Amino acid sequence: MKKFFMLSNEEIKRSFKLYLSILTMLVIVELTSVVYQVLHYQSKLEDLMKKERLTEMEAVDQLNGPLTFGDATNYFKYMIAIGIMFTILYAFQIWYRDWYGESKYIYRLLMLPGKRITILLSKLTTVLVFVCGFMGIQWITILLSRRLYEWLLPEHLQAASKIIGESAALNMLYTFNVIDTFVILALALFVITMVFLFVLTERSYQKGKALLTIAKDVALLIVPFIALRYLFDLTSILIPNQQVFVYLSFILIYFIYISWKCVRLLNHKVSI
Amino acid sequence: MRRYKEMIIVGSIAGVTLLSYFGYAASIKGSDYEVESIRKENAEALKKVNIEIENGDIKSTQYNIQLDGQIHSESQNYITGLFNSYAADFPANFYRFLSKEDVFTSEMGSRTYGIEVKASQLNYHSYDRSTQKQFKKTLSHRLTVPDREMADIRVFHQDGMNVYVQRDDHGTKEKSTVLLLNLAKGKVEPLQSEQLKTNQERHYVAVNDYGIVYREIAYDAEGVEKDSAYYLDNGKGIKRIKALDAYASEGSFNAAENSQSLIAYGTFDSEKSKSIKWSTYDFKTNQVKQHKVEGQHAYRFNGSYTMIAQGKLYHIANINDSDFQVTVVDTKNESISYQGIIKDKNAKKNRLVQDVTVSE
Repeated sequence: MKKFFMLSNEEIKRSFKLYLSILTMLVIVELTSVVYQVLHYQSKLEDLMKKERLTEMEAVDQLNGPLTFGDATNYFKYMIAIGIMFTILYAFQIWYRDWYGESKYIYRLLMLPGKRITILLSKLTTVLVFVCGFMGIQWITILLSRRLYEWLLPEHLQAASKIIGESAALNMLYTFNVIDTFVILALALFVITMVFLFVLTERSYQKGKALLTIAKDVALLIVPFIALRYLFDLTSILIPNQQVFVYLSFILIYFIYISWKCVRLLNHKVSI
Repeated sequence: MRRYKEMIIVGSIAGVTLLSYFGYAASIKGSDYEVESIRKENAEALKKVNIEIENGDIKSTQYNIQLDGQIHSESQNYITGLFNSYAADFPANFYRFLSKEDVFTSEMGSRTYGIEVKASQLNYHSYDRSTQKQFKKTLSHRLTVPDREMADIRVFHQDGMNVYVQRDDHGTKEKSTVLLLNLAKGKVEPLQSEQLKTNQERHYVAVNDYGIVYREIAYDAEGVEKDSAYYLDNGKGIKRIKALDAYASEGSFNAAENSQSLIAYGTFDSEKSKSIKWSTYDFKTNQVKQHKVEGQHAYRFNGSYTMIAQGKLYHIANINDSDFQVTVVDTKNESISYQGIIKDKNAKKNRLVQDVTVSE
């Protein structure tokens, strides 16, 4: 356990500045985007009133109504996409920096006494904690943006909406159901473990064989899925609820398989 | 502790911010319903009525309310969302039959029908949600197999073991056929087959001692409704039911339970009224009669839900932003057999009645 905490802390420490910079950038860009959207809307409104000699009500109508919170947070979806991209890239980087870094840190890691699974778990925990941080900070940014929107925009130009607005991306991420948050984190865990498997496979075999092994593992996920779909469509053996159960079981079994494979590669195959 | 400084900082950022989100989610109050009965005749019957209400909140929840006061609520999440609720309403083998590509499905009241037409036989399956009974029968008959893309088959009337089916073939020529599925004898009897004019549509409504009732709609070249009327075909001649002309464009008249009359309910009257109204057409007198009962509260027409089951009219409507008035009307003697209020103690808005089921 001590080794796990020590390694996790070490991983976090190595990316601490980068992570905090990205979080800060995310908050600043998002808050700025809200200010920009509100000011842009108001300037369009004033322009319309001046040029077309309209009353404020008529100008609002021409702009398709008041500015919704969803409109004000329109850029958030791009920031969320950047956050997801960062997480995936970081899942690669957390391994490769150990091989390609100046100090060849991987030597030290693999030579450490105790089970190597701790190395895997500490890296997995680090990426997951970062994902949780992203989600949490994004939530706080939404709350701050809401305040900013209400403060900057006169009340009659605001449109009533729920706390997170109408953005599909935000509504998917924040359903206000704890189970959904865990489903999102489980999905993140699955993707991160897949990335880890790709890296460890690439580090364990020579180029050609590594590519073939990765292709085989991806096919192991996709081919049965397509086959099951085809079988269910063709035969209607199972009703939709039973089909969902089969799909979920398959994903769970596949996840156990890739986790086991990651541990196996790290214990027996990975070369320095 | 100092050794783990970075881990504590990052962990705290994630923990505190996510906990604030969970805290906010937990603080969102849903509806807290209670049923307040104003008038009731048969307390036992109340258990059989289930009203499903859904909210339009950020936290999606479904409430199942029985008029005897039993209330169940279920929050929706990604996992429950994966499980298709339509399929969950049926037994597995019935749903499997409905899912087959060449099966035509239709619904009437609490019954769902599935019909598969093959060259030498017709497979008939039905499931009644109120009794939870399934019925299967294979009827042998030589029929042209309908083209799934160009045809439609639906049950429009059932009288015991006699099921009346409308089959439409939308080929180059529009053809409408009425089939009687005699489930007791296992036979299919074609009753009527009509070649329709272009831009014409026919909906069969009922079959009774007076003949076959259908509604016919004629469209102009742009597809705008030109004329619609109810007709009665008694086998010797076709008569336009003029008494129903004023209602024909809405098409709200359907067979009443005894099938000797037609009934229309849920048509717009006024946005706020205490009266619950319905109309009946009597074949014997050839007249439309208006009926009404007075509820306790004025209700909002918008979003109201009306249905007929087992000879009773079930009417659920908002009386304010959050509370619903439930009225069960005995249509035979025009009296209210139950009236109550589904009260939301948290006075939440934007609730919608999704479904009402009455089990036997």
